[in-house]
Amino acid sequence: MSDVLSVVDAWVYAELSGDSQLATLVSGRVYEAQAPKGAEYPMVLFHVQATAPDVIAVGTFRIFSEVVLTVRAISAGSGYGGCREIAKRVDEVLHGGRGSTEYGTVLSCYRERPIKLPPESVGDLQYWALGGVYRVIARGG
Amino acid sequence: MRMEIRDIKLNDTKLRALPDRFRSMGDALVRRTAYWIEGKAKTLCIYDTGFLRSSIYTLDSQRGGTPADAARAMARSKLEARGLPGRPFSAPPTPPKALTAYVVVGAEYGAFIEYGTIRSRAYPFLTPAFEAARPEWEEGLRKLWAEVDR
Repeated sequence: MSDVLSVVDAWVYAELSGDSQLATLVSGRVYEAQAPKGAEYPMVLFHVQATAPDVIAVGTFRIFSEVVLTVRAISAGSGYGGCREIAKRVDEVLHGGRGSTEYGTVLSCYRERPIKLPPESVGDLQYWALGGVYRVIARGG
Repeated sequence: MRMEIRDIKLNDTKLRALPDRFRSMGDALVRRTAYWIEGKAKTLCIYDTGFLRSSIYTLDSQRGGTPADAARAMARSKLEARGLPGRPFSAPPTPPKALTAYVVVGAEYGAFIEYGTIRSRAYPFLTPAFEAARPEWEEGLRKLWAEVDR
C-alpha cells in the first residue's frame, strides 16, 4: 500500500493546479509546504497539518487514513481582498471532492474550519492569508 | 372492592439527578481532554526561547481568568529572568462555561508557527495534539454513555 500522504499531496496538487479558474487567479502558483524562493504572489500553499490514527480492521488491515490539511491563499497587498476569491475557489474545488491518483484513492475531502491569519509585514509589504483546514480521508493503492 | 394505594410515590430524585451527574462527568471529560491536549501541544511545539511553550495554557469551567493571568505573568517572568525581551501575549478569552474548555496559545505568533508564514514552513503543534486526543476523547464519551445507560 502506497504512502497515504503521497496520495493526498498528489490529489490536492492535481485538483488545485488543474482548475482553470484557479490557474487564472494564481497563474499556476500552487505549492506544497513552502513556496520556492522568489516566488510571486498571489499563491496557494498547502501542507499537512496533522494526521489522525489509521482506521484498522481485524489484524493489520488498514481501511483508510485521515489527514488534516491546511490550504492557504496568500496575497501581497493591503487587505484580504486579494486572496478572498482564491480561497473561495480553493474551497469550491476541494470541499466535497474525491478522486484517484496513481498512488491511491481519496475517499472524501471536506473543510473542517476556515482560517484567516493576521497579516505579516515584511519591509513595506504586507501579506494576507485566507484558507481552510480540510480533512481528507484516503487509501493507499 | 375498594383498594387504596398509599405511600407509593414515584421517586424521580435519581432521574432529576441524572442530568447533573451526566453533566459533571461530561465536564470532567472535557477538562481532562483539554489538559491532555495542552500537555501534548507543549511537547510538540518547537522550542527556541521557551516562550511559546510556556504560553500554552487551559481555561476550563473551574479555572477562569486568573490562571490565564498567572500563565501570562509566568511566561513573562521566565523571559525576564533570562534577560529576554517580553513578547506580545494575546488577551485570554472569556472563562468558559461547563462542558467547554479552551486550550490557549498565548504567544501571538503561535498561529504563524502552527500554520506557517510566507518565509517559513508550518510547525504544527496544536492540531496534532488535538488529533492525538481524539481516540481518548471518543473512548471517554463511550464510557460516559455506558454509565448513563446503566
